[in-house]
Amino acid sequence: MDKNLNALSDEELIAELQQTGNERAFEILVQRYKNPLTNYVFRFLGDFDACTDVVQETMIKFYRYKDNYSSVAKFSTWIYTIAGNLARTEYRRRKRRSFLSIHDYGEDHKIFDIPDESYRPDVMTDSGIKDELIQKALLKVKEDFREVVILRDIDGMSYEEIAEITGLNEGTVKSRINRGRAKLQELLKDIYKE
Amino acid sequence: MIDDEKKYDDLIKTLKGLQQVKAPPNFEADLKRKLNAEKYAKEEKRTIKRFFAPSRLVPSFGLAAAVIVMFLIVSTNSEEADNPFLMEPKIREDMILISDTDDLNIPIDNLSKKSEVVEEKVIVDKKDKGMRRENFLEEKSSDENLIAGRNELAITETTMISETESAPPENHSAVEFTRPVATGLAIEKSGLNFRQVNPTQKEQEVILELKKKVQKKSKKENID
Repeated sequence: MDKNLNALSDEELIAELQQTGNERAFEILVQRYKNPLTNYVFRFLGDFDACTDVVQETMIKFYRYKDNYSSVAKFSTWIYTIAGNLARTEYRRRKRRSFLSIHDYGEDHKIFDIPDESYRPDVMTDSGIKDELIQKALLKVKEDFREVVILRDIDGMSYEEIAEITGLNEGTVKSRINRGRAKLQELLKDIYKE
Repeated sequence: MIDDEKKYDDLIKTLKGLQQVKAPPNFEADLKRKLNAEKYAKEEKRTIKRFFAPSRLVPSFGLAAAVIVMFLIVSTNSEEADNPFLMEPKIREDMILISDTDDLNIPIDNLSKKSEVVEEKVIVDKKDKGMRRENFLEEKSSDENLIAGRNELAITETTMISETESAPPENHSAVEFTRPVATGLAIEKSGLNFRQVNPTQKEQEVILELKKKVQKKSKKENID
């Protein structure tokens, strides 16, 4: 029984969950998508704890609204849409909170830079440092561009899939990807010189 | 589009070479816990909704209403409430009780005369019977002073009768005054609270005889 379920496609598994309420189908889908979604949300948010919460929330929503899924769309598109929406909401919430907290600390509405102590060259390896720099550069890119760049260049999705997930048309998706890449290359130019 | 891909080839390779971020090892356990908590919360909400559903509240409200009605019925029928048939009738304190008309010295025709005359007679009547009144009159020393100062008498009369009210009841044979008599005012028929009786012919004759008797007595007393 278990072997058969593992062999099923995502769409077949969710159909099984919808029709029979088989919890095992849900568990298999969670196993399949927990890492790709964690990677996507982490690259977008840049915070591992927040990313874990968002992915958990995505899975809960998937379970709660499993009957809303229709077989017209791919399951991956559907679950990435849920995760993307939740990640965007979380990002805006965090942005708003950090903006307010910075203003609270300052006198006469001065904005202070928060020292970043997470960067520790003595601990991290070369590849780790590179990853850190790329992640920081990604977070500096505007969120609309960042999202599509991650989906295209990190998760390797097609323009069509990205258009479905973001709700944009393909032309807009391509344009945003190009603008995001240009900004990112500008931010990472020192890495390429090396 | 292919040109764009070539333009950013290095960047794309760098991004694809980024380390894959994996979910924490306790991810599924946490997820199960959260899902169970959600299910439990849902069930709790359902039970609360079921408990307070109108279909369930109607019988309990009905029962409560029945209990209230029963309580009201029982409380109204309790023995503490006064039975009007067993109650003693209230005695009107403003009424003048006359036990024997023969003892009455005042002629009926003279009732409308000034109350000053009544006051004097009352004082004389009371003088014979109450010890207090005797003491009081002794203090005043003589009847002449009493008659001379009419205003004084009026005041003393009212105080005297109010004293008798507070004093323990005595055996009054003739007249009982329960309220102070107003002085300086004429007694009118219309102001009195009496019962009107239409006597029969026989009764009228008896009344006339009595009247005559009273008048005779008063005349005799005047002559004496």
